[in-house]
Amino acid sequence: MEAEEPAQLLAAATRAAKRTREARRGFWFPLVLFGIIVIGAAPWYRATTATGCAQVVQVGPLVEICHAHDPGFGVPGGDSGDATLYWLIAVVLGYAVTVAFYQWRRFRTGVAGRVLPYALAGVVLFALAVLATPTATQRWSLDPLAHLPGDLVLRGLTPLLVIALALFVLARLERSLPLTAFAALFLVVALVSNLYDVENQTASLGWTTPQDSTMVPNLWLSGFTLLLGGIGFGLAVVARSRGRR
Amino acid sequence: MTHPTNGLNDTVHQRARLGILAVLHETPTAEFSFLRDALDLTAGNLSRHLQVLEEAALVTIDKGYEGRRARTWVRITKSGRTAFEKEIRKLKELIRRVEQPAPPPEGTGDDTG
Repeated sequence: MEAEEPAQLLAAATRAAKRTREARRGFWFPLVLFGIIVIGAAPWYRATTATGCAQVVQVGPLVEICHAHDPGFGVPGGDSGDATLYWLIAVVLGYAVTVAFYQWRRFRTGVAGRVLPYALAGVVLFALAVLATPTATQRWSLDPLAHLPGDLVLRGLTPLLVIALALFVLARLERSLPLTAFAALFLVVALVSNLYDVENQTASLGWTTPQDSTMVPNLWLSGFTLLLGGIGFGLAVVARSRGRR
Repeated sequence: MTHPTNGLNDTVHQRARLGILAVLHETPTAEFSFLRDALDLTAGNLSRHLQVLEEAALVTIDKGYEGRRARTWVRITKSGRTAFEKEIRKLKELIRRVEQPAPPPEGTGDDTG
């Protein structure tokens, strides 16, 4: 047994662990990828009817409600089927590409990262979101359970919440405090996108959106948050590796 | 109460081997060349340390090809993880003891009364 000072041994082990964590982490990639996916959803969030209502529901002699379309994955008056299909393909593909990226990084850096539980969590949460989102029939039924998601599904942006929640799983796997903080920030942004018409604020800043694209600012708020977060984390990785040389 | 040095593991209580386990504790699997670079060891030196750890069943080694490239992947075992965590606990305990102010030696009190 070599005589080593405990403090030196501990410091050497801590340095080795830190270097491994830095080499293993690649979470900037899914942030950029899902940022692009969210921004890319904009064409499926255009209303296709003049009124923006897919269906008008008479709830009283004088009151009509402009009915938000079926599955909560599109925009009122838009073709929700296309939006749902977009999210189904984009979300599953997004997680598959993320797993492939981590595999490529494993080959390149010689350190494996754990990413499969993140991808599985994302896909399972997305499936649950699809199942939990009430259909048009349920929305107007008297069953209180059918009304639970309420405003949360009105804007058809529930996939943002799925992306946000899955990020917490990634942060846990990566044991990264900055990513945990970012996931919390993004969850807030995703909730704002789901519960508030961001257009109200963008209009006051002078950016008016066409009447058929009122959900685009909501999508862009979340999409650009992910994209900029990913770019920021990516630049930090580059700066660290340059600093080590 | 036992002294923390009693719990130190001779196989693990060595800079290179503790470093190897520290790396493997952070990742499901690491490649030989990453370990060599991260720990600043020669290939021969690293091989010897890995052999010691493998014989103690603290790591497993998989040799194979990825494409045309020969690669050696090293993985920590459950007992390796336990041994590493125990060693770190003992080292921290030792450091804490060393940093504690020493009690005054016996017989130095004021006994003029």
